[in-house]
Amino acid sequence: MIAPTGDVGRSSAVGTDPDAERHYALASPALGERALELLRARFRTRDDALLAVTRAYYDTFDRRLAGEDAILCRTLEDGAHSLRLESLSGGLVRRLATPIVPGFAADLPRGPFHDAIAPLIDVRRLLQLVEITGSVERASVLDDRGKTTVRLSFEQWTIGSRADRIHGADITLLTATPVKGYGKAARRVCELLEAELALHPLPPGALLSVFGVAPQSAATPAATRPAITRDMRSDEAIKRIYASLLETIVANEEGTRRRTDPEFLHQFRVAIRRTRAGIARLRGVFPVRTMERFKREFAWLGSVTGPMRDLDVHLMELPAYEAALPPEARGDLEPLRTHLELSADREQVKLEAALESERYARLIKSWRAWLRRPVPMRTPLVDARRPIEQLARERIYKLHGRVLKRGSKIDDQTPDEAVHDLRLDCKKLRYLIEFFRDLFDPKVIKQQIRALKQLQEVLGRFNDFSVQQIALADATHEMAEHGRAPLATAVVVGRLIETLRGRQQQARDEVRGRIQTFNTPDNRARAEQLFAPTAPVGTE
Amino acid sequence: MKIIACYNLKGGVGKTAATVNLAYHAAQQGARTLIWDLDPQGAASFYFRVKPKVKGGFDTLLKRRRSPMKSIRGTDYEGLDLLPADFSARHIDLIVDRTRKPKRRLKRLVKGLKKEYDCVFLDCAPSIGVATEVLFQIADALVVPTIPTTLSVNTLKRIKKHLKGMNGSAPTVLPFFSMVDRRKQLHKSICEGEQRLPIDPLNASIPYSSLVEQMGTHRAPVSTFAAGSRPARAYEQLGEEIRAQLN
Ligand SMILES: Nc1ncnc2c1ncn2[C@@H]1O[C@H](COP(=O)(O)OP(=O)(O)O)[C@@H](O)[C@H]1O
Ligand SMILES: [Mg+2]
Repeated sequence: MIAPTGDVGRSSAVGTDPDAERHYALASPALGERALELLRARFRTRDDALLAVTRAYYDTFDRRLAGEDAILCRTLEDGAHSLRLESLSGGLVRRLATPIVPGFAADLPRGPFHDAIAPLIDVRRLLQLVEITGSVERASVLDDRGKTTVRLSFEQWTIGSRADRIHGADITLLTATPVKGYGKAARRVCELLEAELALHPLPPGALLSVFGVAPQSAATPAATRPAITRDMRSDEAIKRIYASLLETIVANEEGTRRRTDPEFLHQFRVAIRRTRAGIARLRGVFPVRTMERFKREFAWLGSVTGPMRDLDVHLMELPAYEAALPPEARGDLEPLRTHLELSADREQVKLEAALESERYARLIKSWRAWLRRPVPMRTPLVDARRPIEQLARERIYKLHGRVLKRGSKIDDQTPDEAVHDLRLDCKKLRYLIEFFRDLFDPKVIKQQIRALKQLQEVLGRFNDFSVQQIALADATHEMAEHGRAPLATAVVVGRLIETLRGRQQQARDEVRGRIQTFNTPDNRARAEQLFAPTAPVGTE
Repeated sequence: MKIIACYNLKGGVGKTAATVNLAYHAAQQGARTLIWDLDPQGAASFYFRVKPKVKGGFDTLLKRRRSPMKSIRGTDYEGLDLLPADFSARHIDLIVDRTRKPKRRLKRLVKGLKKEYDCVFLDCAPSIGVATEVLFQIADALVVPTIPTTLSVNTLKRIKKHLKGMNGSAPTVLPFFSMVDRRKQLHKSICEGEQRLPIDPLNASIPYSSLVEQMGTHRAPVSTFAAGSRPARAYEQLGEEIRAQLN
């Protein structure tokens, strides 16, 4: 939880929290001048400064800061940049004088500011929500010792940067910020403004909406469940599944292209992988020639988006790598970060080119057209008209059997290859089950998925640590080629690879046990009950 | 949260000046900072124009009958707050002496500040009694302004000896030269290390400067009215060095 300093700073309703900042949206600049005149007449005040100010507000695409009542503001005031972590309900949480433009937590210098933000945004990227430019006239209300008790600012804003004042909508605000411990003075100031000038404070947290920032989060669109029923024709049902995956692909395209946040590319790729798994595992329903082409094209799309995802994952792993190192060695990873960032920038250019290519456009267009085409009344494909429930059971059952068989052959001596194959099968099995989840008893299928998930967890860990070792080795290699690998970095990376190898081995040691936990009589019986074909198995 | 006690058993050596400027610098660096004015004279409170009064007095504060947050005042500078002095603190030794388990109480009091602050500066009164001893228990560092004279060197010896007798968690002692006048031969020779100190001093030292005296008329940290001046830079250096020592 985040709170401005002071134990009274959290209450939200206006009027109950004397230490909360109040903003008044004014109908005209003249009203602001009148307000200041009024306060000067009734209180001891001091005029402080008139400044040109630029502010930009940041949050992650899914508004993680807002979820914790926070917002990040980058200000340029009097020629100096700073970052301010503010409470949405008013008040400063932390400030850092730095010219850094917010991005990932890792971009911030180590220290209390970083530590306050990092857990809130995790791996997310901070995005600019809005930029405002304007002039701020500051004044203070003083007590009889000359101590500031309330800070006043009379602000005239334009939405947009100084260069592109597109909106031209001028916003005039008067802000009263109580100094901690002087709530009484602030209340008197606000009461006067509200009584004499009929001003109404903005509701707490509403400031950003004044600048046109929507309060809700814009989450990455994840797949919506397609509406399929048990006796639906298989071709019809599967097309619906593909169509919903296509929606996910398209919905994440813009975020991927603009690299808004790694999550978009991730969702984009998951939908592609699912589509590919469907094409591979649900054969016999559509003409082979058609599917071959789509299969090839989606494989291409998977391969051109892969390197960027690998780099994203790698960059997101960096904090964990750092944590695994003694504090004094952490700085040695910086060259690696720089290298990965440079590589990511290069990859992004390629990725964008792929998404803007003729080939991509053609794939999406033809896939969509094909999905929209009604299924044929007559078809030589036997599986096409079978009820989807039958087909789903049959295919899941088969794959489940393969997972059990492959799994039973794995012991502590089996080559890693077999473990990787098992992992891929589990993944496909999971996709299939999830495609058809609605066809099964929700409680039972949930248990089945949970069991599979537990097995996948250890296999995933085993794979991740292995991939990370290779990626680290590759990265040092590339860095050396470019002359960007200081000895200290190479040493530290070597140590990391060693650590990862240990962790991989640890995961490997757990594999057998997890397979046994998955392959229990109970689990097998449940799978039988769920997936064993009831009707005679169709030809395949 | 780090607790930095500015202490010397002598008065007029630049404790309050150091507290105010170091705390201001810490706040400027983004640390949420609190000054706890423990001197009944209330010099630090004076610099920030805050009334030197804590409701219920020091006793109430120590016994936590009232949250310290209620007595804390924001200074005119963002990120820098002050727990004001109170005249009752002139009997601080007596109050501590009469309180059961004062160490524990003080620790709890300070724990309550942890959520709110990264850095707490204690502007201690120049004394050496039970209260001081208890305060040392909660401090991470003891910053000791030392005027480069033979007498001050002896004072440092006494502090060192005193801390030796302290069982358990003694703070790191960080002396620095204060009010240094390089025109004075003695200052020069001591600062240049010709006379070894019982505890190694920090590299940064604060020059004797009328700008520091002017804090009294401006009632503000040096950097706010003389940014970039020699003493302003010296306090910044000192702050950085202390921060490095504490990490
Ligand atoms: N570096 C300095 N140069 C000149 N005068 C100083 C300096 N440091 C402190 N003073 C002045 O000396 C007096 C005592 O300083 P102060 O910080 O209040 O000491 P303490 O808190 O140790 O009693 C004050 O008037 C202050 O303005
Ligand atoms: Mg003093």
